Amino acid sequence: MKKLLAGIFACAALLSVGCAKSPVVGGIYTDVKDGLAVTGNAGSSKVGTAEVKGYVGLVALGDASIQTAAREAGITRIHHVDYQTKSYVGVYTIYTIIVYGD
Amino acid sequence: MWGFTRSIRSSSTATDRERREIESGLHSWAAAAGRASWIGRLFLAGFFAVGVVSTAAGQNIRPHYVSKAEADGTIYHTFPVTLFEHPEAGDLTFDITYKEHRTGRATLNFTCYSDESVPVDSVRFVSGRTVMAGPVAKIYLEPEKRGWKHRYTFEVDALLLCGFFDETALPEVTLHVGGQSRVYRVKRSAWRSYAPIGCRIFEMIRVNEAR
Repeated sequence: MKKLLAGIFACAALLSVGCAKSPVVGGIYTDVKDGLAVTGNAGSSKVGTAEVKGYVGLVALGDASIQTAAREAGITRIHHVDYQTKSYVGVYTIYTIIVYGD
Repeated sequence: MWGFTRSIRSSSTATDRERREIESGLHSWAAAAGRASWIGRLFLAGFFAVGVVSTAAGQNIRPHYVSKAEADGTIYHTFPVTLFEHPEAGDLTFDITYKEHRTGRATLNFTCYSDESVPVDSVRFVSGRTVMAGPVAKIYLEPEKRGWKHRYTFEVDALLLCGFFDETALPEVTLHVGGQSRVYRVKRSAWRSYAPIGCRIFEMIRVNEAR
């Protein structure tokens, strides 16, 4: 039984590493920032973030939509959008959307 | 990451009985993992790596902010942190955005919770001798399962921010709502962890802007 549980947890961890949204994924540790979108609007003076978290590749919760991140800072004109992914062996994963705008 | 820091700290204050249970659980788990050959060993190594990486990240300011160079100056943003709490209303989470070569003002956005939909009028952040206070502007209010989620913004003098993040101080946040005050007190261990980071971020901003 314990062998089975250990196997399930290991597989879940490896699976979640593969699922992390990132141009480059590290099996043990991932901390990657990347661009997601750029608009034609000029300049930015506000920054809003929103994130989702995943645990052991089995549970994932949150709202990392661009709309939510923009609303957190009162942004109505989006300049560009970045994202950041962090993953610790796939056991704990954080995906953060970062919206710049006015 | 904060969650991991908290869990590591809380395990260090466990009673003897809890510690024995944890140790026996780890022994049996390790034995099972050993039988599962390389998969178990890989998973154990992974847990060890999580501890090392999360501890190392806690001493570095890079995971706590983002910056972006633009034509009219660099914009900095600290990720939201929950350092203050009220026994009834719950936590207060805030983040700070600063853009160079504007008015020397930083934007502090914060989220709090309340049973009522009455908006906050003003806020007062106090840390040692540093006071940042003023009227707030509402970003949004939205109903949750129980009560309301409030999101506000207000502007502070950026020069005060490094002084605000004083590790030795015991800061408070007071919200003024419809003639009443609600005082949020700092979570001491969280403050001791974050205050040096906050201070270093705003010291870095000051130095970069002055060049």
